[in-house]
Amino acid sequence: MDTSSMESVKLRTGSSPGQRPFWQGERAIQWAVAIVVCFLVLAPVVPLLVQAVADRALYLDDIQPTFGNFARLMEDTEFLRSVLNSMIFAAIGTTFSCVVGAVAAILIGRTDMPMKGLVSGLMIWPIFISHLVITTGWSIVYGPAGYVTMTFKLAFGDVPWNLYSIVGMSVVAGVCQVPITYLYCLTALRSSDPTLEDAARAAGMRPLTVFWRITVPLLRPALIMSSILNLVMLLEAVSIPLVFGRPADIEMFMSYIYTRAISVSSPDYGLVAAAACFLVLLVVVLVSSQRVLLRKPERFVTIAGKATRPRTMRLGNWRFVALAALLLYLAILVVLPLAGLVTYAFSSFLTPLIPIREVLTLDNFRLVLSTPVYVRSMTNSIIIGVVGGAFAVAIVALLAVVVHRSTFPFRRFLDIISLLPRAVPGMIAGIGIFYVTVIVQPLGWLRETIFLLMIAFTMRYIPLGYGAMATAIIKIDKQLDKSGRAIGASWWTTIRRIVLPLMVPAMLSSYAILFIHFFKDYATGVFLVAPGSEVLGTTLLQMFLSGETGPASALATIQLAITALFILGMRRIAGVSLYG
Amino acid sequence: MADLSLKNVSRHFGGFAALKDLSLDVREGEFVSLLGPSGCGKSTTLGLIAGLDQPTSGRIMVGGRVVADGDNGTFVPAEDRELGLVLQSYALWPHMTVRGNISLPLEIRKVPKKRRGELVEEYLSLVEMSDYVDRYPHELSGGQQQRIALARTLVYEPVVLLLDEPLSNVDAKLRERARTWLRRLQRHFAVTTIFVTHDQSEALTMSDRVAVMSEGRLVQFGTPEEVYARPGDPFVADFVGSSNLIKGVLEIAGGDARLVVGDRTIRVQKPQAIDAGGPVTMAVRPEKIRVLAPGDDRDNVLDIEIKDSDFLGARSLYHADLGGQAIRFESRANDLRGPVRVGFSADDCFVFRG
Repeated sequence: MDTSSMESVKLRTGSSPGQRPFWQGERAIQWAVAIVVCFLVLAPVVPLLVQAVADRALYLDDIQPTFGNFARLMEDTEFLRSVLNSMIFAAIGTTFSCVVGAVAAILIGRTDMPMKGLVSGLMIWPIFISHLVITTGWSIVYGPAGYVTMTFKLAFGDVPWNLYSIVGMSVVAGVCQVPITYLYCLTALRSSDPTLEDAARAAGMRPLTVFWRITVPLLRPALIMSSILNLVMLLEAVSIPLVFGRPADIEMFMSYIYTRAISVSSPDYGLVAAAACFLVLLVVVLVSSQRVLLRKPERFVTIAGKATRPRTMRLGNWRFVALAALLLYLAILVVLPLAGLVTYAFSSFLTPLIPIREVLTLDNFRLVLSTPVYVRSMTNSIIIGVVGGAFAVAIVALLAVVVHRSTFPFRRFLDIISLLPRAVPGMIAGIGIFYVTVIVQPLGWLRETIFLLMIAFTMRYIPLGYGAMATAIIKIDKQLDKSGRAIGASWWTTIRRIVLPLMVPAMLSSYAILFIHFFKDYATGVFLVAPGSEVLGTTLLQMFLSGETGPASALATIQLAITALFILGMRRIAGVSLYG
Repeated sequence: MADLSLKNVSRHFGGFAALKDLSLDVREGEFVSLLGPSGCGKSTTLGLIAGLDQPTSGRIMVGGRVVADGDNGTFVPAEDRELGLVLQSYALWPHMTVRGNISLPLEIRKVPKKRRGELVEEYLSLVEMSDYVDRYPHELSGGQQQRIALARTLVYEPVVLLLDEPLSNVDAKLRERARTWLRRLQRHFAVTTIFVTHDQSEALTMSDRVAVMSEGRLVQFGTPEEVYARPGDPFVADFVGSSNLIKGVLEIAGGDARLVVGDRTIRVQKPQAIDAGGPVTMAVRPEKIRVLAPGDDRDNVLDIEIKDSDFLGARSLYHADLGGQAIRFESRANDLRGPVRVGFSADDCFVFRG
């Protein structure tokens, strides 16, 4: 080693690397990240827990601890019935999405079916659209007075379906959740080692045997994970119970809470909080059951010896049958409801009795664009998506760095706690965050501002953004930052100059995903919006529930258009890949 | 057991020819290695024999039966060829225990349950893994997985055994033992075996015959001794073992052939069918070049200057210069430096065109 060059570095910089007291700065950053994340994650839960065992609303004085709320809850037969309904609903919906999602993933991931790109693109579309919009589309097309229902009735006298039943609602919910199963299975299929199937073929197994004995068992973890996620999301579903369940008098979990917390003049906060705690507990049990079910992940994960081309199964002429089945599914269950919604937006009244041509109008859009509260909802949502999304990406990126690339003593704890929001349904989280602003006086100013919604959405979607970040950071070779440290860079410099730049693609796709979720969310804001801080989702929910379907469809159409433009833009301009 | 024959087999991927016109005849019970650097087409060949891939043209026969013919479209899929394939990753099905892995091929062959159990026991003891019957693949080391993969393949008595670099995931120290063990197992079953490897010492120690491949072509096919002692071209000379490749001009005077390199001449084995006066490449192995004691004589004696040396333990490899070209030689003496006198026999110098 040439010592003179070493000396010259010292002369130029005035210090040799390694002498600077870097660790104080390092720990300070890590603690800051930890505190912010803990606050975001715990803020919605802790007040709820307190409220559940308090005898009166938290903002009142002289609160006494009590178990009365839980006792009242358990005596309430309506509650028990709603729990049962929700469970049946979630089970049927999950089964539906499990079957459809897995079949589609196998057809697209492992066979020679034609037009895979188009079908795959359509399969994941529902993930970008809020359940509220899909649900409303379904009611416009397949509801009792829906376009297709009426057409069918005119032709055959009766229809064999009824959306206002548990099975009907479950199918709609299942359709909404199919993309989750599909994406989990497709990822599993793409990352699984194709030589496992080669070995089976060479050992004498026919393609169908290989499929049942090797391919499907290896999909088990993906199926379990996506099913639990779907179960949780369906237990927390708000739009379907409100849009279909209430008119049909089928009460479900979230409609039970909604009814007692929003649509009455004096909400029973204790009871609502107790019910919410019950649901959170149920979800925690479900999520931890996943750990038990998948306790030996090595039994399913294999690493390929070398890169091999995944082989596709030849379906012969069946490949056209497969394509037709998937296209039919997509057309009837995904595209048609959305088309119905958009058509409704452009018409004054939608029925097969009057030709569409005669009812076409732009009145709905005129109304929407001339009503300040609707326009404000739109601009607020865009600002929250753009600014709040960036804020959330910054937090999850730093969280990923602290958990996976630091010596921070509580990093394991942070890793686990960051998944907690997944267990707290959006609407319930909203109640919790509302409490925080009430109890913590200095945060009071946040109420009636869109900052509160940004914070709420960030908290709500930390697991989503963090999941994408964690996957990306694990793939970055640790030797890269080790060599950063070896040349004398501090932890923070290494993170800033080496790790974070390598995470830029992951940050961009996280940003896109978070923007879309912030933009479509309609449940978290229910308790938090105030005059001036309305958001698109919540406004749409109010409009649909109060029967303003025309203007609501117009607003939803605008939402769809903005989402589509955003996705296209991110894909074309930034080259961001959204879900494969 | 069966013999195996490939006739003019080619495989194109779009415009890229991964395999060009390969013909190969493997006798019943023979152990043949496909040896070559990565990308030479050896794994492609194995995939074609296994039936995981279809040849663009040419014919493949196993035991007299045509299993693939690119010219008339005949193609017997992998599962109907009754071959055994052990892959580099071993591809043990991770969701099944060792027992499950070994008995599945028997199950699909409708072997009764009781007999399956016996066979699993028998083959596990054959690969010395009887204690691991209830383990999952992830609970086994690389070497253990390799044994299970072999047991899983041998248990249904395939007519040909195909091995794709099965030793590359085994620790270096265990690899030599695994070679001997694998070879003994193969002799025990007398199963025709195709062994794909890029490791020349594996190929030389284990095979009855070695097929050296390069850039999609078969460049030489012969016993290990032949391939080592009489390489067919400079590539084989250098890839199997190692050779100095010296470029020069061929001179033939009477019965003697000489290579002219700058102002030096080297006596070489007289080549067949190469005319004098053209540019040629001469190959001579570093271990054939000896440092001469005073008074020693050889066909070729060169005074050269040592430029660098690599200490290899029992011997050292020295780098020197011959008319502007690099030449290496080995010696047991570890401390040579400066000018030395080396010599080698004309019989160890092979000349190739180009």
